[in-house]
Amino acid sequence: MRISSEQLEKVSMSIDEYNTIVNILGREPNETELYIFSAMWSEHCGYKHSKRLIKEYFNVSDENAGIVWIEDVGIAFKVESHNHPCAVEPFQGAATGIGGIIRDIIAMGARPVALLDSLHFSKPHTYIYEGVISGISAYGNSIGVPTVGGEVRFDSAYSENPLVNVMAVGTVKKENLKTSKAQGVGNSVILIGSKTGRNGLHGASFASRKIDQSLNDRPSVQVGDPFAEKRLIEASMEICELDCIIAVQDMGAAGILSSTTEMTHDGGLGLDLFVDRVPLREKDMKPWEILLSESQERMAFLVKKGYEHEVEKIAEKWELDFAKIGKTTLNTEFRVFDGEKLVASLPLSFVTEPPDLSRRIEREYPITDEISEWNGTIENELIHLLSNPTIASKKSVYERYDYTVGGQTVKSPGSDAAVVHIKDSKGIALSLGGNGRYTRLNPLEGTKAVLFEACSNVIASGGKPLGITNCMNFGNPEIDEVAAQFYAAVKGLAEGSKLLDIPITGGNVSFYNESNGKQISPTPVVGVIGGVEDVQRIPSSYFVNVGDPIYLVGRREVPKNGASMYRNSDSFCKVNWNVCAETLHAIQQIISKELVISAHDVSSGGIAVACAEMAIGSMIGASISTNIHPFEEYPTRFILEIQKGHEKEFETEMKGIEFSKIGTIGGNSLIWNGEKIALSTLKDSYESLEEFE
Amino acid sequence: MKAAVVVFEGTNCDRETFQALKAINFDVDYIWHNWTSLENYDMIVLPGGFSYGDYLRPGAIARFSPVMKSVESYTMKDRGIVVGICNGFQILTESGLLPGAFLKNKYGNFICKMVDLEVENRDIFTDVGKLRLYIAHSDGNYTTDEKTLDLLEREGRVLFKYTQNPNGSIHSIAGISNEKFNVFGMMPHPERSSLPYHENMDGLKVFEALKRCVK
Repeated sequence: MRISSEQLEKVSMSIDEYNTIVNILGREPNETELYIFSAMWSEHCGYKHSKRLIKEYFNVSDENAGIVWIEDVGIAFKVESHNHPCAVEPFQGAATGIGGIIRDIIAMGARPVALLDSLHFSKPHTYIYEGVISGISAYGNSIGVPTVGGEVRFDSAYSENPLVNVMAVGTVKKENLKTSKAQGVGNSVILIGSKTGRNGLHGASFASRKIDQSLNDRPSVQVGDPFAEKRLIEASMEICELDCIIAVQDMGAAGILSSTTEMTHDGGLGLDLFVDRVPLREKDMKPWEILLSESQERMAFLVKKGYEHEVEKIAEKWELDFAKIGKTTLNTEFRVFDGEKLVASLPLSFVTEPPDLSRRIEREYPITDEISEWNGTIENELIHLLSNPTIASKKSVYERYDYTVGGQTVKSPGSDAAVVHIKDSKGIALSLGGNGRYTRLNPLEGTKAVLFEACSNVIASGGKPLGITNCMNFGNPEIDEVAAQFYAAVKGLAEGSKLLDIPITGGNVSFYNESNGKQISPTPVVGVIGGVEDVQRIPSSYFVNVGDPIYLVGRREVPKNGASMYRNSDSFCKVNWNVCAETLHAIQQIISKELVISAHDVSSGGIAVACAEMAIGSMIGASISTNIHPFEEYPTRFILEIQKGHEKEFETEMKGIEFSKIGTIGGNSLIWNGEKIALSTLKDSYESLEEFE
Repeated sequence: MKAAVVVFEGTNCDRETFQALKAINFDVDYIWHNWTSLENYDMIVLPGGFSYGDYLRPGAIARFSPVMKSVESYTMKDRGIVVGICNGFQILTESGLLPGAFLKNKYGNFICKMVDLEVENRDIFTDVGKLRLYIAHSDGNYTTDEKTLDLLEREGRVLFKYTQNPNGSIHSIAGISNEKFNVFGMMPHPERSSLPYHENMDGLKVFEALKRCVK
């Protein structure tokens, strides 16, 4: 064997993988071919540590994004991570993360209508925090897609390796829905968008290894141009109206290489690529550099032969580069030409299907069902929790995002789930979240809790959950502990989806979230999309009417939960998921009736924080009298304000579901079992994140 | 009455502006930045967004587009009115059709929030004293020289002011007009408060008042 270990390290490939390639090809790969494998077999493109498990447990389609329907309008949605680039260059990392996921949505033929981000940092106001938020603001605002929701959480587990997961949502008419699968021999692969440079070379293999501060990884991060993206969105929308478009694929990790090979392989065809036709922004790029470049703001369209000029006209209008860079072929070979010269010739399926390395490691995680009790005073703990940056108001973050551009935003950030208007009276409710505290203690049960929490958010905002997407953020999958966590989380999400009877429509996996040997907490981030029947009839997130009764729906006495925000211990609480699923169903039914005036799901910080948030939002107080634990956390519990005089009707509707009347709305303080706390005090604590500015 | 919504590359509030104008019974067309015949329209709206990516300076590139030459002659012919919203306002100051200029927001960052506005010109906005509208911009800090400021105030050309100045604008100015009252610019987005599912419908009052300005 001629290859050296240094050369293999340079392309992030193991010697076993190299030997597999030599065995199957019956020869050594040339330079171009070696780089092709290094990118396509990287974890980031090939998903070798996850693909088989995801396929088996989630039953997702292999299109660019999942889809649910609101009548005849398709809602395309997907989450993707951009953790590694954000660790190295937070501003550009976050900006290009937005750009990338937006292109997944436009590849479905859908117009992007909303963005949400799940951000996990060590603490507020760090370099990474500021950079990521500025990057989202700069890019998302410019392309005119509102950032309507998400979360910002803090935990020292993310000090070197932040998590930046972005969910994009788009709408598409049934007849314009696009596939990523090629069809027909001799059709043209068209590249539209920006010129190709050396940006983001090795981005895919970079994202598939740990972050090493001693390496200069900055050249692996791409640079975004939101103005080019905006033109690409508009041009793509016009192109997707054409009859000659057979398939669409965005160019993300491993750029031209990955998008065009996946498109043709999924269609059972072969591919000839001509790298010399790619518009370049730098001179003397090698074929492999052109193939792997992750220059942003590019799309691939498969166009019926003879109709290329129709696409070209639209590209010209939007001042985007256009090039016919390849064609589909009958055999299943992947050939790359540089002018007349054949520079790579490989079996296509071998390129797109890396060896499977997924593992099923079972682990037991401790669980407790001892009931949690509380006898203390409340003020100090409540103020402490409200000012915890994870719970505190994120107004200073979301006011930097344009959350109303498009004029479709009905429920803004800061509420449980965002609501976006779709058509006539109908809309969608959107939630995206993870909880490393939960999934670190118990990746199986914790993941279910994360899913049920996202559904609770959607329901509290008046939606009926229709589909689930996810992004699995984990450490190094070669470590047994991490592999076990991943397997448990995958099972947890699959079980949760069955319990709730909501399909998982798509997902993304991010491994190697580690730095200096420190693994992040396993952090599955779950996105849920729900249908809203009437966007003008959704409950408020805050207290509305003085005198209205306040109810807790969901379990009254809950077990000790080691993941609750007010305590740290090593065991997760025992949850009866069937009862939780029934509660969700009942709440969703009752919220569609007008007697629910305001609603908020109980999450971090328990019912005391939930009530405080509802009071601070409208600066209307409440008097609560209950022996229910104020701070303990347990899934699927809600605080509801019921229209005064309709208590009986509500209680009848809730038959078979645990609930409790806990208080009444009114006053300018929160009174908890006689202990009085001024709303202004609570507001000051809650908005403490802003005081750092 | 006919209205035109001008679309530059990078414009991103065109759709909702179109909807809002339709809601007050305008016939609305989108017109592309190279379009030059505007005589058919009673109102030309330059919507918000990031025309040409806001590269160089917001509005600095859009002002050179063919449509802006036509907008200029349109205003001289007293045909109808021109309304610039957010980036549209920035394009109008860059073209010299409205006085003044924009600086970065006082606290640096992009701000998106609902703000309270005091109506200054009650001749145009006859039926409203206060408005609540969304702002969403990085460069909304309006400034001009003392003399112009004095003229704006004296001639009733300040349309509305922020109750709590969010961006550092001089005299808290949020919207102005030219001296002929046929060119209007405003940073707040009336189109985001125009439909029944919006937080309020104050924006529709703004568009209706402007519609009355068309002779």
